[in-house]
Amino acid sequence: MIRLDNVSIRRGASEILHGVSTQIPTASVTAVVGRSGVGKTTLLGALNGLLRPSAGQISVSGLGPLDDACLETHRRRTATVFQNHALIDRLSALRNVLLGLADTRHPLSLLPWPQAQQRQAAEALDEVGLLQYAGTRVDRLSGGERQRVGLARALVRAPRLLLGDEPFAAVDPNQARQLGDAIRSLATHHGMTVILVMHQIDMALALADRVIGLAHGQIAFDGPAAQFDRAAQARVFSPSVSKGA
Amino acid sequence: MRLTSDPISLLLAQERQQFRKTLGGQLLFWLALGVIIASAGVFDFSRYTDMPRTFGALLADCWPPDFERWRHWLRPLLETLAMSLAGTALATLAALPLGILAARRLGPVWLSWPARLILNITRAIPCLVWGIIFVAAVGFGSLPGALALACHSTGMLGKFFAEILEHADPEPGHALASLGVTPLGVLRFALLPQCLPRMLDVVLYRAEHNVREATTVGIVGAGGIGLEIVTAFHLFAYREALALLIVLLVLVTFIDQLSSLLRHTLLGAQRA
Repeated sequence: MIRLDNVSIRRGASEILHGVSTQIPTASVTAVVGRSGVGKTTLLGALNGLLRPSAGQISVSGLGPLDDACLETHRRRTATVFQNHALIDRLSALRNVLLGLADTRHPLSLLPWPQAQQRQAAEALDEVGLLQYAGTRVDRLSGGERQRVGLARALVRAPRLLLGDEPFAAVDPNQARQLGDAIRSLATHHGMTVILVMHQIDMALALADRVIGLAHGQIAFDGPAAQFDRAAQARVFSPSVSKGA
Repeated sequence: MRLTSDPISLLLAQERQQFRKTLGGQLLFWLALGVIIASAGVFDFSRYTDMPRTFGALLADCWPPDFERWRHWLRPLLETLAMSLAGTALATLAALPLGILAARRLGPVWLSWPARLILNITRAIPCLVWGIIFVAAVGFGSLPGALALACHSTGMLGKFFAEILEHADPEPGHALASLGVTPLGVLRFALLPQCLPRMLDVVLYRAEHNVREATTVGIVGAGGIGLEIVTAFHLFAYREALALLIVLLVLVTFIDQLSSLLRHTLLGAQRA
């Protein structure tokens, strides 16, 4: 369970999130939706500890309130999938997945990656159905395949919390569905908590258990995906400020 | 009749306006270029009158090339090769940390500024001047040549390394940082693997350049084939000088081919 109590986040002079409170259950898939610039990516930044609340508190079950003492542990248990894949083009899929374990290696080490870690990376690739492309440079893969390599890089850490910043934005609908199924299965079979920033409402409704709708830095909808009907969508996506669900 | 306010006419009018705006600047640029070239005396055609005759006489004196002393050139050739490769290797080792520190996004300002200063100084002093300094400091031979090439190349390579790192895609680094990887880890695992091919390319180009530069440094007493060429000219042994230039051409072509082969072999490698 992740709990946000009255969380506000500032970036520079402006406050992006204002007093956000919600609870995200373990092993669930939550979609965060809203217009551009409402603070969805900022919310992800706060959830993986890259951005610290200017007010309020974020608590994670098993760790308690996120503070300096437990932040490193929380980040080691968290992985992020990015919209633009954030892969290194000239490296193979396997090498890119291994980078998900970079925090376990000394930066000045010139030794090859240990066998155990190479096996872990290969298993992560297998999990997303790309084991046959392990030795292929990622710039020779399709957008959907690259995104799955990004997902494997996140999975190789066996994270408890998986964050996705518009992971389906750069892939075609068919590949997005496959990727969505893979993510859904992770939450169901591995007990992973998944929080995805998404633009595609249909996909969010099909994939997520819950939807958080942000408008103007505040929660405009927070509830089961089945209740995110047209009226709720209008509240989230309307240009005027609205609050509560 | 076509209206002047239709989108295509408006676009063309904007293009014409843009051209008129830049016309003054373009004319000024070409004028400045002409003045700079003229200031070097390039347009003083009276100076060229004796040139064909002098070239003809020199070529006649050089021909045919004299390879009789070829056995004496093997050692200077190896010295040239050794000093250029050693100079490149030393420069690469020094330029890597300096380039990383000098890159605007990477090093803290209090370290990047001195790193940039060192790179500027080593680059600003010509290789020949470094050669004179090191011949005075450590004596004749290939050592001062290698050190001179290393100093000048450090400045060039460090600047290129810094620029390559500055232009690397920051996203993989952000991804690793979000996993809790330290800045040094981000550099090692996200930035260097991206930049390695271009860095290697620059190093190989510099190695080729240093083979030619080593000949020039040899002239000031740093040994190698350069010293042989200058001595041949001083003794008016033009046929031997031509033979030495041909040998140098063969060496440079060989290095160029070797460098192409290395590029082809190494740049395809995938190492993180």
